[in-house]
Amino acid sequence: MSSFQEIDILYAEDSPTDAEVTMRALKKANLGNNLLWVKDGQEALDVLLGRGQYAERLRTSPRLVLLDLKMPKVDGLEVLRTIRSTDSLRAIPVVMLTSSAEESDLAKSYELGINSYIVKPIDFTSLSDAVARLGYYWVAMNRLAESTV
Amino acid sequence: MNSVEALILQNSNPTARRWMPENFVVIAFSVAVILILVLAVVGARALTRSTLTVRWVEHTHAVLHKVEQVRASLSDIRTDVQAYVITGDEKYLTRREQAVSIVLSSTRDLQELTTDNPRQQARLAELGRAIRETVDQMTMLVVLRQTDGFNAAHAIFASGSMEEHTNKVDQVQKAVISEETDLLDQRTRDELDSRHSLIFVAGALIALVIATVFFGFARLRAELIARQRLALSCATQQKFLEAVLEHLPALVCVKDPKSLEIVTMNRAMERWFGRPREQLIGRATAEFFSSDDARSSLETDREALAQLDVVVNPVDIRTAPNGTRVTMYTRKIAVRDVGGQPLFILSISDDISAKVADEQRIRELNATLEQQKADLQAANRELESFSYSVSHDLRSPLRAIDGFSLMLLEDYGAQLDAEAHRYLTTIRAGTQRMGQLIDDLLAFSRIGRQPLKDMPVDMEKLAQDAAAFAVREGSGTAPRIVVSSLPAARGDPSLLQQVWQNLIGNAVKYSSKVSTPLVEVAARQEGDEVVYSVRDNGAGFDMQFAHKLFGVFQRLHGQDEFPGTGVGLAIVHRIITRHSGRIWAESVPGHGATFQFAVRRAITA
Repeated sequence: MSSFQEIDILYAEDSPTDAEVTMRALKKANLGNNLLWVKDGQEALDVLLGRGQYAERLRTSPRLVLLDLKMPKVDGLEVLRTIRSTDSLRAIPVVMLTSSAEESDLAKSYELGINSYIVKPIDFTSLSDAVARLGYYWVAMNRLAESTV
Repeated sequence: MNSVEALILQNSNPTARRWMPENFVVIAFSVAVILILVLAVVGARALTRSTLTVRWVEHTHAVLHKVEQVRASLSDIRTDVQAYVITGDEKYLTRREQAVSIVLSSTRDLQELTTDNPRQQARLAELGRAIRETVDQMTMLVVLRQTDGFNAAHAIFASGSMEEHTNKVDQVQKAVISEETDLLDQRTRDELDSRHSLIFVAGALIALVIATVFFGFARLRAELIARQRLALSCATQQKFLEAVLEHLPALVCVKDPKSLEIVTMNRAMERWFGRPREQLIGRATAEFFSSDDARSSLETDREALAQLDVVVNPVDIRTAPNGTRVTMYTRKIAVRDVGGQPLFILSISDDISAKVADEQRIRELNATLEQQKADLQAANRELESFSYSVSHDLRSPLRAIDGFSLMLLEDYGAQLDAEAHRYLTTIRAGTQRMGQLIDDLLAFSRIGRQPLKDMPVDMEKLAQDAAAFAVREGSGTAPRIVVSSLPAARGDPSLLQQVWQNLIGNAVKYSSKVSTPLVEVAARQEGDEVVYSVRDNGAGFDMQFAHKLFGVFQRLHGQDEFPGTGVGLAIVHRIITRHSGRIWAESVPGHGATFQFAVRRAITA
């Protein structure tokens, strides 16, 4: 590993409390290993495209990207748009995390090609249930990874 | 006015030009005059022939007279000669020479009289010879008596040669007389014949003249009557047209194309000018206008004269003689004769001041409305971004409170006593309820903003789905839900689905504490509407609070009794209102509640 970091999940979230609660739920579902949390969309793009402080640090792309919809500087939709328009990133599953099920946001997210979305519930228990469902993508990506090795 | 009349007449009876009975009458009377002339000629000719006939009769009589004279003179001569032969007395010879000259001159006269008749000439020649022979014989007898005495002369008598001559003379004379008499008869007969045919022709001509004159007169009379009628109907029509013109609400004015003076006008125009038409007719309209108005009026007059089309001056602002500014809608046209020469200028105006003012007012109102619409749209956008902030920013701290409370319970639960556990559980319940309130409020605001579909909706299916959902989600005693046959409605299917879910959900919730909960869903048609009803046998409510039922966050039951946010019925009310429908409820506390709503019926094909 040394200077190179293998990450499975890239999680972009501007709210530290939301991030902490979500990451706890992910750990409970055994999805929390090798997770990288970034605080906004720009940083997420730096990670994905190997720019700035993340240059030369990542050998492979993350297997799953979790994006908060509303973030400062670059929001989730823009990150999603870049992922879907970049050849090396296009295949990565993207799950959008939203505060509400406002139709216009969801419609745009689906237009840009998200794989799923989670409305962040207030009830932590519900959040855990929702995060557990992410396991589907996790399993799918593992299989894909194995077949390509 | 004459040209106007001419035009009206011309227009009202276009067949008049072809209808010319004068020609017929002229022809009839010309025929009569010609017939009379023919009659005169025939008559004159007949008269001439008649005169000739009379002359011929006289001529015949003259011939007969001369023949008689010759015969008598010859007879005298013979008597005298006989008397001399018998007596030898010279005195009987005294008349002889005179008689002979009479005979000879008469014979010449006869010949002259009958120069036109060769047969008579021949006979007369023969007669002349016979007379000369007779006269010669008489002369010879006289000589013989003088020389040879009585016996010699008497022997001549006795020989009968005297008789012979005399007879011949008589014979020829008779033939001449007979010829003349025959001619006279012939001429008299011809005269009679021609008189008959004259009478016939004249009679026929007179009859024709009478018939022609009579026929012409009949046509003339019919024409006179028709003209009288036409004149009457023209007068009526003219009065009618004048009345129509007079009472037209538009301002009508007729001008002379050369002088541009007013020829006539109607009452509306008279009123507008504010003076009797006697003061206006014969003067130019421009005299009564301000200089600007006069110029523009003159321009449109000239324009109308220069073209065949109507000149329209849609917005013509003029100062009325009473000083007010009015907006006129004026149309002018030059009315022309068949040759294209303008007869007059017809000007029709409407005072559209009120209409223009109304239009201006409508424009202003529209501008105000546009402004209000823009304001509303801006307010809506603000509300939308506010809703978004509420959902995103307000929920984030709530998640933190709930999440960290749970972490505290999970990670440090062992170190906390029961009371601390209860506090943390209450904090979590409070945050979750607040989250629910925010979600419901957002749902309520979304219903007001989302566009409304308008299509037939299968209400029975929606009610059944909602019933199944309510049973699945409900707690407590599972109710019996009876859904009757429901007619289709018109509206937005997803919003009406929400209505059924909320109403049936409520019915299930509020009847969950009775021993045998029953929910009945039914409908009835009322005109173009369907009234749907949801009845339960649950807790019901006090009707004195019925007005609070549909308000946001208004509840008639305690949270511990029946949980809820107080938004469900507000949402239902909002959806029904957006469908232009009505909703109401009836209840007796402890005996259940009935919610009814009316929406438009779907027209079934």
